[in-house]
Amino acid sequence: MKSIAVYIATTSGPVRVERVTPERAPQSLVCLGRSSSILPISGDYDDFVRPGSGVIEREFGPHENVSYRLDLSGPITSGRSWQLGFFLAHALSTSGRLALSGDEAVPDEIAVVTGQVDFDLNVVSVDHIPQKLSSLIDALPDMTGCSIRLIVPAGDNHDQAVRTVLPDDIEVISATTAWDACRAVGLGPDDKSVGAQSQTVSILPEQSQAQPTVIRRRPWGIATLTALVVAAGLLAAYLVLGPNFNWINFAGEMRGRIAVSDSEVGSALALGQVKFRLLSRRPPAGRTCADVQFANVPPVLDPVSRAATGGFQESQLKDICGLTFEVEVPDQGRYVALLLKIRSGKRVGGAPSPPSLGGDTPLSGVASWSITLPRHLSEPFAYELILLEARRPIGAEVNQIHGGWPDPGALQDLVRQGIKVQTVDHVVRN
Amino acid sequence: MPTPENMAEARQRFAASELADSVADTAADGAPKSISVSRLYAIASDPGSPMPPDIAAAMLQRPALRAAYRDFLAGAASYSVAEAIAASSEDLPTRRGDGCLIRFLLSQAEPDQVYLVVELDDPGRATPKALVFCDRENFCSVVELTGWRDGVTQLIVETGSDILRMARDPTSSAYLK
Repeated sequence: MKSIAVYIATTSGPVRVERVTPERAPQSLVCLGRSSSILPISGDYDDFVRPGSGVIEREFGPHENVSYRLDLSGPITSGRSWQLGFFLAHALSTSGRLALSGDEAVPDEIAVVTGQVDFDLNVVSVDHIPQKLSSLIDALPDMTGCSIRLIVPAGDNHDQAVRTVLPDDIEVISATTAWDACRAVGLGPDDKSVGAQSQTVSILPEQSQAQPTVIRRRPWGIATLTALVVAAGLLAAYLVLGPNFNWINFAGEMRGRIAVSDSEVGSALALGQVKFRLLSRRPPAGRTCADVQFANVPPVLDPVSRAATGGFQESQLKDICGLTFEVEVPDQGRYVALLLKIRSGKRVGGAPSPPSLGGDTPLSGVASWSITLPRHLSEPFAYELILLEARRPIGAEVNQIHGGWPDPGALQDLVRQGIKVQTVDHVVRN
Repeated sequence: MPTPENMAEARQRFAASELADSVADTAADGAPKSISVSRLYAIASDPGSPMPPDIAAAMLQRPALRAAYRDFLAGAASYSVAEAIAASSEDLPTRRGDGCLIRFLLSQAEPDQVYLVVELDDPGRATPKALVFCDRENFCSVVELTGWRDGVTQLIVETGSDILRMARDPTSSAYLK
C-alpha cells in the first residue's frame, strides 16, 4: 500500500500536511508543526469540516469525535486554495495512506495540490498559479526521492500549469471534482470481485466520468498530453448523462408482467427464473461510509423491502453508503442484462454494469453491481432499472437500448422476441 | 476608565501598604521606582493590554500590588468564575461561572497539549479578549482569547504552562475580560 505525502502549493512554497487527527475539541483547527500555534485559517477549516457548512465530516464521517486537528509544516494564513489538498489528506488519512511527517519511511509518492472545493465537491480555480509553481520548483531539491503529482483545478489553472516549465518527472493532473484528486493517487471505491460472478464496481463522480487529464513530463523535456479516457467511464457517462433519454411509462401490458405476486412480497423480485434483489450498503458498527469507500471495509448489505406499489421502499441516505443490485440465476444458459437510468440526483462515480450483466454472456449463480452514493444529495437520487432476461444472447438488443432509451413500443418488441422485461423504481432521499 | 470608586478602593489598599498614591520600590532589579494606580488599573481593565515587564517584576515582589491588580481585574471582568467545586477529582476541573463555562480536553494528537475551551451561555454577548487565572496569593496568568465562533473559543496550551498550573489549583479563580 503506497504512502502518499500531501503538500499544499502556496506562493511561499509547498506546505506539507503533516497529519490529520480526530479530536474531541468543539472546533476543528489547523496547527503549525504540531505545536500549540493555531493558524488563522482554522475558522475556515472548521467550516470546511462541519456538517451543514462543510464537506469533510459529510464525506468521511460520522466520526465519534467531533473535530479534526490538521498539522501543517508551514503557515498558511489566508485563502481557500488549501481545500482540495485538505480533502485529499482526509481521504488518504481515512484509508491509512497519508504519509505522516516524522515517519522515517520516505513516502512513495508526493501530491502537491491547490484548488478550492465547493459544497458539491466541484473543484474551483484559484489565483497565483505561476507564483505557486515557481515556489514549488525552488523547493524541489527537498522533495526528491519519489514521484510528484501536481493536482490543479481543471481549466485555466491546468492550462497555466501545463505552460509552466516544470521538471521532467512531475505529472500535472487536472481535477474537476475532489474525487478526481483522490483517484489521481489511487483512491476510490474498491473494485475487487465479490464471488465468482459478482463485481463491485468503482464509481466516480457524475461530473467527471472520464479520468482526469494527466500530463507526464517526459525526460526529454517535451510535455505530452496523455488524455486517459477509460472506456468504462465513457460508457457509464453515456448511460448516466448520455442522450436525453425519454424515459418511458410502461404500458399496462408491461406493468402486468411485473406485478408482484404474493410469494415475491418481501425483498426480491422475480422475472422468470431470475431473482433480483436491491440491497442497501451501510458501514459496520463503529465504521463509516468513508471506511467502506476508501479503506475497503466490507459493508453490511441489507435488503430493501418491497413497496405495495410493486417498486421498492424509499431509502434514507443517512443510513446507507450505496446500493447493490443483485441478480440470481439458478439455471445455466440464461442471459441477463441490467440497465440503469438515473432520473434525478447523483451517484459518486460511475461505471458500467459488469460484463456478466451485459446480456452477452450466459449467467448462472449470482452477479451484482454496486454503486456508491454521495454523502449529500442536492435532490433525491431517483432511478429506474430495466432487467432483461432471455435464453439467447441479447447484447445487440442491450446496445440498442444504450443508443437511446427504449420507448414502450421497443420494449414490447423485446417481449415479442421472447425477452422477459422488468422495471424497478427506487428513490434515496437525504 | 477607572471609576472614582475603583480608584478610591485601590488607593485605600495602597495606603494600607504604606504606598499611598504609588508603589515605591527600592530593592528589586528591573522593578520601577513607582507605579501609578491609574496605570495599574488600565492594565488590569484593558482586555488587550499586555503586562509590561516592569509591572510584572514589581508584582512578583509586592503582594499589595498583586491584590490591587486582582481587585481591578475582578471589577473589570465580563465574567468571573469562582473556585472549582471542592469535590471535583479531575486534574483540570471544569469551571462553571455565571454565563460561561471553562473546560479542558486532552489532545489526542499531542499528549503534552490540552485544549482550553471557553463557552458563553449567550453567544450574542460581547466576546472576552482574555482569560486570567489567579491563585490565592494573587499571582495571575493571562491568555489571549481569539477565534470565537458561536460563543465558543478554544486554544491549545502546554501541560506545563502557568495557566494550566493555576487551572489545576481548585482554589484559583478565573476571569474573562
